[in-house]
Amino acid sequence: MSQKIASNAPSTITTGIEMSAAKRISVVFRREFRSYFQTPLAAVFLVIFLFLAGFFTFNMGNFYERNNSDLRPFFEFHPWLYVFLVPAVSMRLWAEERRTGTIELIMTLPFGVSDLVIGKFLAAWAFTTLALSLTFPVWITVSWLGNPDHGTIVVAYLASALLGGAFLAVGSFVSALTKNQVIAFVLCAVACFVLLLAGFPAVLDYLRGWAPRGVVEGLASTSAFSHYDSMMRGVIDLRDLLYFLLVIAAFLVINVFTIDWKKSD
Amino acid sequence: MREFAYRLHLVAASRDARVSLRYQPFAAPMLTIRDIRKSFGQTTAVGGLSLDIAAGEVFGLLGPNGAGKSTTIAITTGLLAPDSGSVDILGLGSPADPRVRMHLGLAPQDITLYGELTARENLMFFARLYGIASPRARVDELLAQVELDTRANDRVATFSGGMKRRLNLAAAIVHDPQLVLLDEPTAGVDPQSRNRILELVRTLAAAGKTIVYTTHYMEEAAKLCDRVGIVDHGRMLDVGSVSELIARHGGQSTVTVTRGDADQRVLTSDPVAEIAHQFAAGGVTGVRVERPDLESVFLSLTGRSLRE
Repeated sequence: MSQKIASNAPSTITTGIEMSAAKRISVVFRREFRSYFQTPLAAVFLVIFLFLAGFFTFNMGNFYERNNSDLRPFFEFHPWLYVFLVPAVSMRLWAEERRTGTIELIMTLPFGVSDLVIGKFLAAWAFTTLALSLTFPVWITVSWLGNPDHGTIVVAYLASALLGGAFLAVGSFVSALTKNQVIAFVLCAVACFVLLLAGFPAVLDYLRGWAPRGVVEGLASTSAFSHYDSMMRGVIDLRDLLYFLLVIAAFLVINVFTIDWKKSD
Repeated sequence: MREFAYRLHLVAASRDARVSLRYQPFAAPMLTIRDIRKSFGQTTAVGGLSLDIAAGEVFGLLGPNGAGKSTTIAITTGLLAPDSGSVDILGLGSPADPRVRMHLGLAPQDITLYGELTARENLMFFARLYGIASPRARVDELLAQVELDTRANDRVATFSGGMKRRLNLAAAIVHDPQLVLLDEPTAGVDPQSRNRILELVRTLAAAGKTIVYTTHYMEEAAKLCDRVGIVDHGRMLDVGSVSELIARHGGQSTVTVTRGDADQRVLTSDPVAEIAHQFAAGGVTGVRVERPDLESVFLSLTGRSLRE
């Protein structure tokens, strides 16, 4: 074997802590994003997402029967698609690292875990946003058939991307709790479902029958559905944007603490 | 000071001489562990373990499964926080500090690689995270060193256990750390891979790296380590060079003298003198000497065999 490799004073090595956080996040992001395409996950996810998005829009959403040139039927089903598809992306984020033991190695890296959490989250978000962007033929279709309000569609796309990001942040946190990806999937789906359902009109109507008004309004304000629904109509309200960004930030912070807490499991 | 210790290591002519020179009290400690304790519920994994490891030393932690070796390694890398006690690396402080962790490399007991990535991609990922200026060159160097350069572009999932172990070790040293922690690096590998791993450890030691090597293979500890710590039930039972430990706990040598069909077993601390004495008595047709080894040391210290 070669004897020249391990030198006592390496000249080519700078310390990881001298790197900027952005560069470390970029390294994690690139590895994570590529990894989606190194397994069948990307192909399966993209095909199922695009198929279901089209199916819900044109079959269940009465796209043609409505006789309106908008994408409301398309965006209305996104929350329910995300409840089942986003956990499929997020379940592996940390559970896989824990199952394969790679978490042991990355936790000894010379920087905090927050860079890893952000890098992984951004990669997952970029991947789901890529899937969302591949639905552009639906936009082209409605533009060809009529004269839609493109501003509304852009805002609705933004709402959909933010909703996907919020669910991914929840999923990333849940994934950090277990090494079992199936458990991570189920827990994330339930958590996202609850986050949606809290603002669902039927649930709020039921609660209004017996719960104090403040509680009902409080619950509605924590629901992703209310904020998504508002933006889907083409209205950019700072409160809606802040809601999604705060949900993402809050769950990523909890994610960091969870990884640190369970790093040796 | 570390440089001085390293020079001592280079000029020492023999392994024994190097051992004696390395442990001068003025050598700067690379790793200082003070009375660390760690329990999981009612189970005590580490119960008050202290250790000083000098720069350039190859230190073996020898003990059976469940002795507390891996917990000690996890605490040393900052993966686990001790219930009490402290760990100091290079005099810089605790491994909880990311700046301190830059100086250590870990090859965990389990394979910790991304199976869907190639060997090169795995090492490149860690090299980039460590901020290595020329990651490609460093990775190529390491792949050659662990003799995986011909499989560099193959997915790790297709590798044998021994190849994964070698790559795991390469990942641990990709940033050329001063302190390398190897947690049973030869567990479950074929003899060929084991020899390559042991050779790599020797190469690292020759380059002045400090190595903590946990194993339950006594012959590896005896071959590689300048000093060995015998661990059982989370406690350090004794520390010393192999010859020191054998002298302290190994007991006497057994000389088996054959005269015709009859064997006579004699326990003695001076087998050469005993053999001379037996030959002087006449009629000797055969002699066999069994010297005490680390197994004897472990048996003496714990009352049980190492692999129990």
